[in-house]
Amino acid sequence: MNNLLEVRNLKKHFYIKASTLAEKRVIKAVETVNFTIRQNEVFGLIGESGSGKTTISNVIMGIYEPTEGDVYYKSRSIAEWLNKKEVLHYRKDIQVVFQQSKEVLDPKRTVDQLLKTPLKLHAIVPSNALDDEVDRLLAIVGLNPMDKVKKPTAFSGGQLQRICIARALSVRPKVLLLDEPVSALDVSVQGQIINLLMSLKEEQQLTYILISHDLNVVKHMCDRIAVMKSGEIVEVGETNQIFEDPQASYTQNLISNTIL
Amino acid sequence: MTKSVLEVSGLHVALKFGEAYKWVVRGIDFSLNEGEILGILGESGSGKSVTVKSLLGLIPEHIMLRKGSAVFEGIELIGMREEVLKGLRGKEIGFVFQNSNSSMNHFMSIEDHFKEVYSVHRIPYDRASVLTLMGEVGIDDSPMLLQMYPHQLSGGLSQRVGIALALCHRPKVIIADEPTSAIDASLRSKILSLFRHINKKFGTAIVLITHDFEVAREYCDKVAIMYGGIFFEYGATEDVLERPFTPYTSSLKACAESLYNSDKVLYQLEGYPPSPVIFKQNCPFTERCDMRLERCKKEMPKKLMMNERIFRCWNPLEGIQVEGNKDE
Repeated sequence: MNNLLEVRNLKKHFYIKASTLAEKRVIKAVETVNFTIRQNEVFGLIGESGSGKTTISNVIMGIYEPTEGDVYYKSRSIAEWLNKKEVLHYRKDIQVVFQQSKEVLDPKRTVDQLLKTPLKLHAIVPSNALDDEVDRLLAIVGLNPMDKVKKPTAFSGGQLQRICIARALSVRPKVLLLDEPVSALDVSVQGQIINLLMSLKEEQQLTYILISHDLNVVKHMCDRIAVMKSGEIVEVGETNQIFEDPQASYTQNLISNTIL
Repeated sequence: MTKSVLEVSGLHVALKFGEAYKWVVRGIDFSLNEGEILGILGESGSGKSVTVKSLLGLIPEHIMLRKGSAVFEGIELIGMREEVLKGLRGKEIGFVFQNSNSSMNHFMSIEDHFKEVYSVHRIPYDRASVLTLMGEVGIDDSPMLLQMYPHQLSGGLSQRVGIALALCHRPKVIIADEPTSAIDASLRSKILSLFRHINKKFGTAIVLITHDFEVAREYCDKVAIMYGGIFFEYGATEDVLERPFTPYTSSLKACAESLYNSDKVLYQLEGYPPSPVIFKQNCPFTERCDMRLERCKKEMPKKLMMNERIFRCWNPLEGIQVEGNKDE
C-alpha cells in the first residue's frame, strides 16, 4: 500500500502570556511525532484530552503551522500545498467531520445552500447539475432529498452528522479527518453513523484519520492506531495487536481502565 | 428490611417551549432504598435530567409544571416551598453535575465553595472534616488544593471536588447527573468506583444518570430504561439488561454489544430518538420498533408488572402476553 500522508518529526509549541508583564510560557502540545498513513486505511489517534490529537489534525488541515518537522501529503510538504495555487486542491483532498455538527453548520442557511457552497467553490459539477448533485449527496448519506429546504435546527444530532458527512464528501475528497465523529451521538444512533462511514470508505476509496477517545469505536473502525500521551506517541501499530498485547504501560492502563 | 428514602410515583414534568407547555416526563415511578444505586439509562432528550432536576427545584418554577408525587423520607418534594427545599438541597440530597467545573464560581477559591456549603445551612465551617473528606474522594494534596481556583483544576479533579462538595453534610441521597460524561475514559472507572465506595462506606443511596449501557451494567443495583419521557423498564439491573422485556431495551443492548464485539457490520437501529416537542399519546418507540402492533400507534403502553419488574409495552418479548392483543 502507498503512503498517502506522512508526519515527520512534527513539533507544535504554543507560546502564551498570561499578561503583558508575565513571562512567556511554552506549551508543548506536540513533541516529535512520526507516523505514516497508508492509502485506504483507517488510522486512529487515541489518547486522553490534552494529549495533542486535535493539534495534529489541525496541523494536517493547515490551520496551524508546525513549529518543527513537516507533514507530507503525496510526498510533497504541506507548506508547498498551502501556497496560493495549490491550497484549493489540498483543501479539496482533505476534508473534516467534527464532533459538534450543530455548531459547524450555519443555522441560517438551508441544507441545500450548505451543500452547494463547496460544490460551487471547487466547481465540482456544472451549475445546471447542482440540484441533482445535492440530491445525490443526501441520498448517499441516507437522508431524504426532500429535506434539503430545511435548516439545521430541524434535524436531530444523527441527521446533522449525516449532513456534515455529505458536505465533506461533496468535493470528492481523498482523506477524511474524523474528529470524534460519534461521541456526541446517542448509542442507538452511533451504530448507523459508523456503518455509514465504513461503507462510504469502501465505495469511495477513502482514507480516514479517526480521532477518538472511545476505545470501542476505535477498535471497531481502525486498521492501525497511534496512542498519544502528553504530545508524544507512545505506541503505533495494528489495532488488534495493540489491543491484545499493548507494549507501553500507558496503553495497558488505558485499555484496562476502560470498561470494555 | 430496607427502608425507602425516595419514592417517586406518577411524576409528570412539563417544560415551557415558547408559549406552550410540553410534557417531557410522562408518568414515572421509582423507589430508592437505603444503600442502593439506581441507574437511569436513556438517550438524549429522554427526560432523565429533567426528572431529577425537577425534584430538587433546579429548574425555574415559571417554566415548569409538575404532577405526581416524590416523597423523600416522608416529606413531599413536589410543591415544597423554596426555603424548605433549600434546607434539603446539599444537606440531605446532594447533587453532582455532569461538568462540576462549570457549576462552580470561578471567582471563588475551592475553600470558599466549601465554606458556602456550610454557611447556607448555618453550620460552622469545619476545615478538618473537609480535609478528611477530600482524602476520602482521592485528592492527595488537599490543603494546597483548597487555595486553588476552579480554572486551575483538571476535569477529573473538578469532578472529585464536585463529589466532595455534595458529600459535605453526609447526604442520604446523591443524585449524579452524567458524572463521567465530561471526563476521559481512563478516569471514568476511577470516579465511578469512588461512587461505589461512598455507597458502601456511608450507605448513601445514589441515583446515577447515564447514557452508557456498560456503566449501568457495571455499577447499578437497579436500573430504569428511559425513552420518550417514560420508563420502558424498571427493575434489578441483571434482570433488565440480561433479559429485556421490551424491544427498546433489547435493541439498545444489541447496539452496545455489537460495538463491543466489533461485529463486521454494526447492529443498527433505524431512526432517531423523538424530540419532546413532537411527543404524542402513543408508544414513543413505535416508529423505530420492528415489533409494533396497530395498538402501539394509538395508545400509550400500560404499566405492567412481572417478577418485581415494571415495564411498558404492548408487545413484550420473552413470550409475555398482554391482555386485549388477541384480536390482532
